[in-house]
Amino acid sequence: MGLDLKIKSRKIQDIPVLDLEGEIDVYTYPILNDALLALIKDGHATITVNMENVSYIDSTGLGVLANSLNKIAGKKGELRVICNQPNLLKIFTVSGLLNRNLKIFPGETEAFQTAR
Amino acid sequence: MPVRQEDVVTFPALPQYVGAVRSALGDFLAAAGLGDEAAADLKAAVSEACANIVRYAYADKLGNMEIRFARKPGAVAVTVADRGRGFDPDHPPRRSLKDEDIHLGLGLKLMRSLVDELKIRSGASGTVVTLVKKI
Repeated sequence: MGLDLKIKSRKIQDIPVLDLEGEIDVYTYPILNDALLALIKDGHATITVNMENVSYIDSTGLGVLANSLNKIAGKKGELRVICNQPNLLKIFTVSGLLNRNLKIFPGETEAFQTAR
Repeated sequence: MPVRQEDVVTFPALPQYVGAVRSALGDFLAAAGLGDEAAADLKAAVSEACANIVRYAYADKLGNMEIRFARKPGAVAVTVADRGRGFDPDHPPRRSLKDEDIHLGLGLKLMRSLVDELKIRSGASGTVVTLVKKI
């Protein structure tokens, strides 16, 4: 019954990028949680989450991102989210996560301009 | 094709069925004439209400969630009901799921911001959340 969340991993400028496709909700959140925790465990403090092909995120998914932010806090890293869907941007704005070290970029180019 | 004025779906309160609720609501809203942005807002708010049931309502027991969609004059109203243990909306519970800490308060905050009207009636015999979005 549940909808899928698929994740592919790659690197740009040695920064890991998680390309997500699907929906992030109370059913699929462990997939994202596991992927992020694995990268943090490997020592990555800056991670890019590409949500261009994500159609929905709920408070559970936001909790996963908040948890990752907590874990990379103090490591001079940041969580970069690529997202330009108005319905998702509204949820991010309401959540308050943008006041923390989570940065939203409209595309991959913009997300990696800051790395140079 | 006539537009249905009301629809009811019941699913087990399990994580894998929350997406099915969004799908069923999406079909209803398309027929009801709600715009894309309003429909996305209402689907997200209803999904939060369902996720709250999955996470908190029944503790470790099995239970159902009943979602009723109704077309009203100038609005769509959705009620999300469970027969679980209820909660105090002014003091929402906090519970850890796996490694992350999720506050039910965030779900409530999202619901309030995404719909035009939100009512929560909760007690020992369950919770009914009513969400209204203007057309």
